[in-house]
Amino acid sequence: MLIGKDRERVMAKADLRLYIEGSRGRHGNVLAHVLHAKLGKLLAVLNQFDRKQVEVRERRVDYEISDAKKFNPTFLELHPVARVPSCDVAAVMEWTFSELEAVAMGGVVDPRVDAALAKSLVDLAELPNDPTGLERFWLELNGRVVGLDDEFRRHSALLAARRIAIERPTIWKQGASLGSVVGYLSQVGDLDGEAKLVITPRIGPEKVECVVKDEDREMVKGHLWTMVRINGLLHYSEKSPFPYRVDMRRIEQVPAQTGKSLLDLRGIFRGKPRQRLDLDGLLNG
Amino acid sequence: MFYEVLGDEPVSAERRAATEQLMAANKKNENIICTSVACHLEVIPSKLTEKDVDDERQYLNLFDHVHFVDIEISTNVLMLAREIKDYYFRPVKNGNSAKMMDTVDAIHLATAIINNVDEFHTRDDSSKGSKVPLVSLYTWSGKGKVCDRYPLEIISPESPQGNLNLTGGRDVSAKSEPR
Repeated sequence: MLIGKDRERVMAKADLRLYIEGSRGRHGNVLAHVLHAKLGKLLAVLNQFDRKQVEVRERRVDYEISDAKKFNPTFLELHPVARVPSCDVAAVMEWTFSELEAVAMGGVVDPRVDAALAKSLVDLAELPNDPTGLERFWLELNGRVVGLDDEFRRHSALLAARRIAIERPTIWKQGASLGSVVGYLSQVGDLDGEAKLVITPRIGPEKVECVVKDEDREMVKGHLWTMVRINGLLHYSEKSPFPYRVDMRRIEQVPAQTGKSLLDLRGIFRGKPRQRLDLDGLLNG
Repeated sequence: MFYEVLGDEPVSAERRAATEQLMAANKKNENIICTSVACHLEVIPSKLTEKDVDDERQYLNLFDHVHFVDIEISTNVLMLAREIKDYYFRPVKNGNSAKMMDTVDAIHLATAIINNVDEFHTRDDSSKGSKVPLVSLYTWSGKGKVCDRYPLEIISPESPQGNLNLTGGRDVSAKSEPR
């Protein structure tokens, strides 16, 4: 724990200064509603950084206005104070400002700065609709400066686009296709007149429900508790690349061992011309 | 890698030993080797004599096995393969040729990602002309995941000491996809 002067020194280092320069047309004065909007957006961004640093739901830091001056540029000094005893506000501010610097330079940004936070940064650096609202806007922490200007906005927008691409959940095919599932036929149930099986593949989905017609039940009995290949109509949902259900049309045993291994076949295609298939255009967008 | 064995291609002792160790472990059911059915397009020779028909049958029979399997190309594999191919496309720049991943390579990567394999095995590492390398894909692209979002360990297996006839001497993954 830091006490006395040590505490004051560290806390002073964590103080964040917000500078805002008014337009010449207004003699350097900043419109009150512009300052109010920018301060609101800055606090929203600071709170997001605070929560993202340790992935908590509640913010851990409040900000006191510890200094303010109205000359051009106008500035406010925000003094961070911990809302919870375990919070190291100096570390929070250091991480926050380092990431703001990385965004400003177009550098490598911590993955914890996600799409939502990146979009908030874009919003923070947006110019007001009124061109006379402000001329410049920047932050300072312990002598380090980050300009919240058009370049910062462009870098934030690029970061947001990349993050959205990464965070976007993959949407898989929803529907049905003919195909097969290989796995262990592990369970049988009777519901609504249908014999329902569960197949547990060695690779791929954890389990696939198999639906069998009444007339096929006898055929299935001989394959219970073995490795099988079930051919039929595979049903897919958008949540998974694997089928969740197969309507069985045919079932066959998969041997535990085959007679030969790949090494036994060494050289069988020796000297044979390999196929030259031009598939490259197949997936071109 | 399949053709490395089936075509009996000249490879280094380290590569040959690694393949043999993987196969020895497979024979003891210590790993699962899987590949996209697209592999068959690359491996099976184009001209088939009567004997070749038998060879082809023997080759395809390899995959009818719990620990040695081919994986069908589903719609989801194709959609992901297209995403991969699009991601790694690089247009012509400063006189250099455009870069475009081979379609079958993209299908292999998509199959491996969807099936969550532990290791993706390949020897393909050429970046000549329009080619996109696989072994050094992450170095080439500057991103440590496929499309910067799908984790996949891509390796060209080599056994540093060559073949010492030590079966199981390598930490073989539970699932792997040699191609």
